[in-house]
Amino acid sequence: MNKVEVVVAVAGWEERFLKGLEHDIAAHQPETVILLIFEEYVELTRKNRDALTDQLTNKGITIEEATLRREPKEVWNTLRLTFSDARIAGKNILLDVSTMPREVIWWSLKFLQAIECNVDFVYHRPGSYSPDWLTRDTGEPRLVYQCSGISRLGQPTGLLLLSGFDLDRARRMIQYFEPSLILLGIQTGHQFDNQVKNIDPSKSLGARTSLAKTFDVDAFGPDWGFQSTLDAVHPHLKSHNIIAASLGPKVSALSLFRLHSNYPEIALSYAPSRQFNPEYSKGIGAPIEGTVLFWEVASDSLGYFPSTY
Amino acid sequence: MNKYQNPFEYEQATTLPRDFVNQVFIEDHSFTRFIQSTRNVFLSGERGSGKSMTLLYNSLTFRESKKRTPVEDGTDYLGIYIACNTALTHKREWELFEDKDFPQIVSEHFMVLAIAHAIIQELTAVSSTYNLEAASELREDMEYILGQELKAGVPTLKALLLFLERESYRSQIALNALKHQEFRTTAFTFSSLVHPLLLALRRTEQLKKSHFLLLLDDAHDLNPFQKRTLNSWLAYRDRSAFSLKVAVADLQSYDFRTISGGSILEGHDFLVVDLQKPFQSPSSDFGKMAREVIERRLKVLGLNVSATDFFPPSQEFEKDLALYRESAQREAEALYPDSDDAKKRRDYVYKYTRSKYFQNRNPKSNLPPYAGIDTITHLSTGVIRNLLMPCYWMYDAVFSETSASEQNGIKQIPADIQSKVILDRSTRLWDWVEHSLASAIDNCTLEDAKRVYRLFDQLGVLFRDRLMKDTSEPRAIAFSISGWSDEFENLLTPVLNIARRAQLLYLRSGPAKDEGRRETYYVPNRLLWPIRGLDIVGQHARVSLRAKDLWAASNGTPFRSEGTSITQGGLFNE
Repeated sequence: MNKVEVVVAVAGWEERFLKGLEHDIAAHQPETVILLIFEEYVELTRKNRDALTDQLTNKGITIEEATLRREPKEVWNTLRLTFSDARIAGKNILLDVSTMPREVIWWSLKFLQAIECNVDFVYHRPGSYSPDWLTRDTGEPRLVYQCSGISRLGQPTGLLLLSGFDLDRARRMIQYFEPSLILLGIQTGHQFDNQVKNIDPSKSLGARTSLAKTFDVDAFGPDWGFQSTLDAVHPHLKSHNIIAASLGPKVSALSLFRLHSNYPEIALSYAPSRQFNPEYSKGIGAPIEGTVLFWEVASDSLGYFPSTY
Repeated sequence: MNKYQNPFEYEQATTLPRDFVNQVFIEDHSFTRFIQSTRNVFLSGERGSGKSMTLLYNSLTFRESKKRTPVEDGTDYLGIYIACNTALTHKREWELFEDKDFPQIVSEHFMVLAIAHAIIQELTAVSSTYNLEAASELREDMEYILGQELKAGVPTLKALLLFLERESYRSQIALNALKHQEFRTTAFTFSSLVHPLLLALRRTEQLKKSHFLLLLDDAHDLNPFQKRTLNSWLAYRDRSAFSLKVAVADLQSYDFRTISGGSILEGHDFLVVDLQKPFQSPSSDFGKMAREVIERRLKVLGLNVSATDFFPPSQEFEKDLALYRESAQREAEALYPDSDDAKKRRDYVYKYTRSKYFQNRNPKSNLPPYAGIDTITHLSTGVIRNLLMPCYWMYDAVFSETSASEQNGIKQIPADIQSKVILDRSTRLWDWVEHSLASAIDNCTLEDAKRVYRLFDQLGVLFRDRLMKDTSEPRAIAFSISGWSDEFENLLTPVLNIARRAQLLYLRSGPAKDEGRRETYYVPNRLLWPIRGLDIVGQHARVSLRAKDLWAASNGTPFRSEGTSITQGGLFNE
C-alpha cells in the first residue's frame, strides 16, 4: 500500500466506524480525514463523530466535514466538489468503505480516478451482524450517474447480481429490470453464518430460474471476487446490456467498479435503503485492505462497435 | 428423464420463444382489433395481465415467425415492438443538467433512437417479405434526411442500424461524460428522425400503403420528459403513417400532460383498453379466455384435453355442494313459493349454496379442497399471470412425482395436488406479505408493511366472520370505501397503493348504490384466502367499509360488523 495522505469515510453509528478509523489513523497517520456526514443520521452518528474529532485534534490531523442529504444528485454534487479540490489531486487516498453506501464508493472512485489519485481501500468487518433485519424500506433501483453503462440498442438486459443476505432485494431488482438473463454470484464461505442466510437464491426466484445462471464468488478472496465475476459476465457482454448490482459484501462493490472501469458498457445499479437497523452490527472484525485497481485487464471492451463500423 | 417443458410458464412475455407466444396467444379476447387500427390506444393492466404478449403478438417479427401474412391479418399494419424497460431508458444523467432544456432534449434523443432502431430491426426481420433492399430510393432519402452517407457496401437496412448504433454509442459517451453541449446540435427528435424515416419507408413501392403501429411496452418506465414527449405525439392529428399503442401498468397514475403543458384526452386523442377483467365466472369473457389459455398451452405438449378434464374439481366437494344446493333450493321454495318468484329462488340458491357448505363444515376438519378449473380461474382475480402461476406449480408437482417413462403422459392434475399447491401458494403469499414486503416493494417502510399485513389479516377475519354467519351476502370478498376525508385519504391511500403495487389489491369499477353512478371498489388478490378457509369464488357484492375503520384495521383493530354495509352488483351490470 502507498503512504496514505488522505482518509475518506462516511460517518456511522456502528462500533466499527470509530474503531475502524482509529485503526486507519494508527496504521497510516494521514494528514487529513474527509468525513461525509448524512443529515438523516446526524444525531445517530454524533457520539462517534465527537469522539473522532477529539482524537484527530489531539493528533494534529485535519478533519474536513461535508454534510449532505441522501439524495443522489446532492451526494454526487458534494463528492464532485469535494474531490475537485486541487489539494487532493494525485494524492494517496485511503477509502474506508466500511459504512459507505455503494453510490458513494462508486462516485468517489470515479472522481478520484479522474484526478489521478492512488486509491487504497479498507473494509472493517463487523464482529457480528444483527440476527434480526439489517435494512428496510428499499427505494426504487436506479442506474448510477456516470456509471450507467453504454447500452446497445435492441439488446436484451442481463442482470449481474452479487447476492448477499437480502434475497428480497435481489428479487426486487429482477422484477424492476425484467432481465432476460440473470447472473447470480453466490458468496462462498461461512462468514456470519452465510450458509444459513445466503441460501440457494435460484430456488427463491421461482420460475425465473430458467433465466438464471449462478456462479460462486468470494468477495473476501485474494481479488475480492473480481475474476470469477468477470468470467461469469464476459460471455454475455456482446449479447446483453449488463446491469450490475452489489447486494453482497461491501467489497464486492469494488470488484464491480473494477469491472465497470474495464468494461464501461456495464451499468452499475443501486437500490438505496432508507431504514437501517440501529443495531446493524456489533464489534469489529479483521480488516480487508487492498489497492483499488482500475485498468489492469487487457480490455476488449466495446469490441462490437469498431468492428462493425 | 424427459426434457422438462412446463406449459404454464409464466415468465415475462419478452423472454418466451416466439413460436410459443404464437401458439398460446388468444387473439379474439385480447383486443387485436384495437391494436390493428389507426387509433392511438393505451393498454392498461397490472403486471401479468398480458400487455407485453398482446404487443409482441402484433409485432412484425412475431407475425413473420408464425407465417401470418399481411393478407391473413387483413391489413398493411406493421407492428413495431418497442421495449421501454431498457438499460437506456433507465439512464438518469439528465437529472444532473442545470439547464432546463437539456433533460428534454437528451430524453427525447435517446427515445427516438430506440424507436428508429426498433423500426429498422423489425423490418430487417421481414426484409425478404417486403424486399426492401431493392428500394434504392430509401438509402438516398435517408442519407439526405440524416445529412450523412450511410456505410457503403452493406445493405440499406443494415447501414441504417449501424448509423443508429453509432449515434447511440457516441451520445451515451457524451452523456456519461456530461458533455451536454454536444446534444444542442446533434440531438434527434421525433420530427427529425422517426417521422421522416416512416415517411421515407412509405415512399417505397413496397410500403406505400403501410401504417406503422408503434407498440410501446412498459411506458410507465419512461422518464417524465419522455412521457410528455410521447403524449405530444399522441396528440398528433395525422395518423396516416403511424399510430401509437402504449402499454402502461397503472393508467390512473399516468401523467397525461404534453410538452407544451396541455393534456391529451381519452376519446379524443386515444382509446383505453383495460386488460384486467372484473369477473371470472365460467360464463364471463375472462372465464372463457382462461379455459382457452389453458387448453392452448396443453396443446403445446400435444395434449388435446379440456381445461375441465385437466384440472378436475374435487369429487368430495362437488358431492357435498350438491347436497347443500338441494337444501338451499328447499329453503328458497319455502321462502318464495309464488310462481312469480323464480328469480328470487334462483338468487337465493346462488347466494347460499356455497356459504352453507362452508358454514356446515366440521370446525375440526381440514381446510376445504380447492380444485377445478373454475376455482383456479377465480383464484386469478382476473390476471392471466395469476392464472398460470398455480398451474405451473401444479404441473411441476405432478411431473416431479411421476416416473420418467410416464412424464410425457400427464393427462390430469389430481384434485388433491391442486388443493395442496393452492394452499402452499396461499401460505407463501402471506409469508411474503408478513416478512418481505418492506424489502421487496419500493418505498415501503417497515411500518407500512406491517399495516398492509394487518389490513389484509383483518379483512380475512371480517370475510370469514361474514361467511360463517347468516349475513345478506356472506361470500362477499371485495370492498368499497365510504367516509373518505382528507385525513384518512392521506393516511390510508399510501397503504392501499403499496398493496396495489404488491399486487395484493386490485381496483375495479362497478355501479354504486346511487342510481346510475359508478364507484371504485377493491378486490384483494384471491390467493390470500384459501389458507384462511374462505370461499374464493366470492359473489357479486362488496362490503362497504369506512375509511377510518380500514385505517384502524391497518393498525390491528378488528372491523365491527355493524360498521359495514353491502353493495350488491347485479350479475350482468358491471
